[in-house]
Amino acid sequence: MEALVRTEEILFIAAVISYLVCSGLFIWYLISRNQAAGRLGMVLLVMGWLAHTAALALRWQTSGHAPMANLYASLSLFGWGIVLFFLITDRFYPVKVAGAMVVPVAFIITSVAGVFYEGPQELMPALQSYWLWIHVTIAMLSYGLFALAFGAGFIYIIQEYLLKKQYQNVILGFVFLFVALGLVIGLWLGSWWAEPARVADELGRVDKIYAGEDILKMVIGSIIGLAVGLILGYAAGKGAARPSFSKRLPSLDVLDEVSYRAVAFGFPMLTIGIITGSIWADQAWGSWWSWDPKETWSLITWLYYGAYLHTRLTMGWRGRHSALLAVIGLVVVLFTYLGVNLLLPGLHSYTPT
Amino acid sequence: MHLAVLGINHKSAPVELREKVSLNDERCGSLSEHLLAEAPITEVVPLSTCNRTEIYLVASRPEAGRREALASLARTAGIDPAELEACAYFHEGESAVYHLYRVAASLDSLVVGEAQILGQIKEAYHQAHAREDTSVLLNRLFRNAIEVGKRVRTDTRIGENPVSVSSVAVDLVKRVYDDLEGHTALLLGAGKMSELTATHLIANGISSVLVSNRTLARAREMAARFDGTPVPFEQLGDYLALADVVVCSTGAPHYVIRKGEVERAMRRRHNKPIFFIDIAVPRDIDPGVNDVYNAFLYDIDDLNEVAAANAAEREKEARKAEKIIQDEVKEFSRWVSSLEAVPTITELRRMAEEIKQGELEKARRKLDGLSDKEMQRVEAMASAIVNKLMHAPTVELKKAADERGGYMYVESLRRLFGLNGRSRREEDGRRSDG
Repeated sequence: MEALVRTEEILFIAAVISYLVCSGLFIWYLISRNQAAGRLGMVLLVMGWLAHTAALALRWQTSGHAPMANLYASLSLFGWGIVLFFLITDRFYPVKVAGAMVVPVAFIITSVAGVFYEGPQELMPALQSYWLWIHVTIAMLSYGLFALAFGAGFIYIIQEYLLKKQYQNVILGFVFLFVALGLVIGLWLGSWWAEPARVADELGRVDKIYAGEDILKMVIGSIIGLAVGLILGYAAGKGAARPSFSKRLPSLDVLDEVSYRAVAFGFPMLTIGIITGSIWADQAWGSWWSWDPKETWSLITWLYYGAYLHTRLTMGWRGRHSALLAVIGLVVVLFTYLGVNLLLPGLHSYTPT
Repeated sequence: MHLAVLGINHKSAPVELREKVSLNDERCGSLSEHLLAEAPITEVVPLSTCNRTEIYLVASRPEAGRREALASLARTAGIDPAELEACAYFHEGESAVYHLYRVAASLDSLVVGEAQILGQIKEAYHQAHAREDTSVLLNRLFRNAIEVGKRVRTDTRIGENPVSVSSVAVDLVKRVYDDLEGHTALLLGAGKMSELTATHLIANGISSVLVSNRTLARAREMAARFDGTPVPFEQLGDYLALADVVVCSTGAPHYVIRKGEVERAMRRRHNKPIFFIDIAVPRDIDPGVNDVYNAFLYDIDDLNEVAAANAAEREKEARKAEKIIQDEVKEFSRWVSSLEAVPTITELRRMAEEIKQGELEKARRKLDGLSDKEMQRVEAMASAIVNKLMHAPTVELKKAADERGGYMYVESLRRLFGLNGRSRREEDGRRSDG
């Protein structure tokens, strides 16, 4: 038992490392068009994904239930799904360079899973149901598809921007994008660094108290993020201003189709996820729907992607607007998934309240 | 034996002269035949394209070879040798090798990185080879040059980004539509550039072509050429909704396609992208069209900008190619110097001497009862055998060194006696490459 848990850990770490190395390789492939880097990245990604699969299977074995009982397991499943769908897409579309976008996302999600690592544990009685693992697995896989739609949509927006601007005066756009990303990431890292005091109120809700020192740390984090964003944005803009760069990106029609297909498959899966969840809720709590924050946000996500498909199918949306919806969609998904769990108390929180 | 090249190209000679000096297959044959009849020249490969005419040759005295080549070329072209000499360049030895490698890698081309020259070199060599005008040296040189050309194309990105306006346009279209199959192009107006663009689009698999022109007869004529459908100029707005790519080059003094029309067409085609290529001056398409959702507009200036940026990238790749070429030239020179008769003879003799010494040492250990005098006898006998065996090959090799194909003897001898392991392995490698 102990040995199996150890093995799972090692396999998981191997998967995370391989995703990190693959992110580097795919980004290098995008920048240099070095074919060997792309091929190596693909091989390593498959190997990392297999290790990841084995880790998840071991977790299933040792805990006696599907990997979903805690944040670690479900995030791990999320990352696993992203890589799986990217590998499948790669079989059908010339989108290998999109790995430079999709694999880092998978890496971040999987490594965040590692941050929340917990050993296998017994399920609390409320969670012991056949419906539950179908619910979680399908929901996570649909999230994986939405992440893929995000990646393709993001690259679509860049490719379209470059083509529309005729490769002239594009540096500013990249600087804006990277500075915005740098600020968000810098602030986020700064808030990790800050370690604010945690105070629980009488209802058990945890509140964070930020002292002056903590705020300073967050400001420093943001400034560093801004500076790094400025430098990287300028470099990226310089690189992207060469017309030969956008030749390496997939074409607009491929990106649009991949993003659309991912949502088209993800949406029914999310629907099934919500239905199975509600069947299970009925069994566990005797109520199909209780407007718990998670349920509410799942509904919002469902309506959001429903709107994406609606605008596409009946209003003829395609291209940039759809791509933008797919990009923002992942933010909605991540909020439903993590934000609700971490910020709002409710039945779905992974940490027992 | 010396390698040399005499030639003119687009940099050294005006087009009028290049036209006259240009050689067709038949002229190549007679010129080679004539040159080979001259004493100093033993191998010849003429190479003639629209931008260059060059004669690669092997001669025992390079200056004599140059004179002969110049005279024959001038005679074939029917011009004064002095006129040709003024524009001609001449390289010998290593710099001739360097020159051919650069030509094969298309670094010497008018459009750096163009792909045709490699095929032309192959063709020129195959014809010379079929006429049996080549031997060891030029065979090796041309086979290597073709390999170098291929290597430069695969190891650098010299040919990756197009530099002509029409191929840049098609390259950009493919960033919107990955596969042109199943898509429609609309050609407006006639002109060399737009027709070239249309040809490129068709070569890249575009499925249907619509042609429109102010005069219907002209539209019909062009449609026939591109296997397309003529459409009336007045109903352009309707056909715009069908077009994924629009190529414009009319002589109209005002905009032929306006923003409003494109917006309407875009609604009718449910926002499927349209790529507009405006080659006309003054412009045919309202620049505001680029602001229409999912419409992309490139005018001639935009295309030129992209072409210039791509050309700059080719320059960068060309520097990488130069490195590859320099390495390959060194490699070739090493091989050539291994074919010199004198060092080969020295090496052969050294090998024989080593064998003799080794065997004597063994014998001395086994025959310990021998007196000094008897031992000297044995040594003398061994030396005599070695010298007698070595005599004939030495003399023959020295004689062959000045003859046509003399390198063949040196090379055979090196192989038979295993004189140079490295060059032998290399030779095997070349063979298996075909």
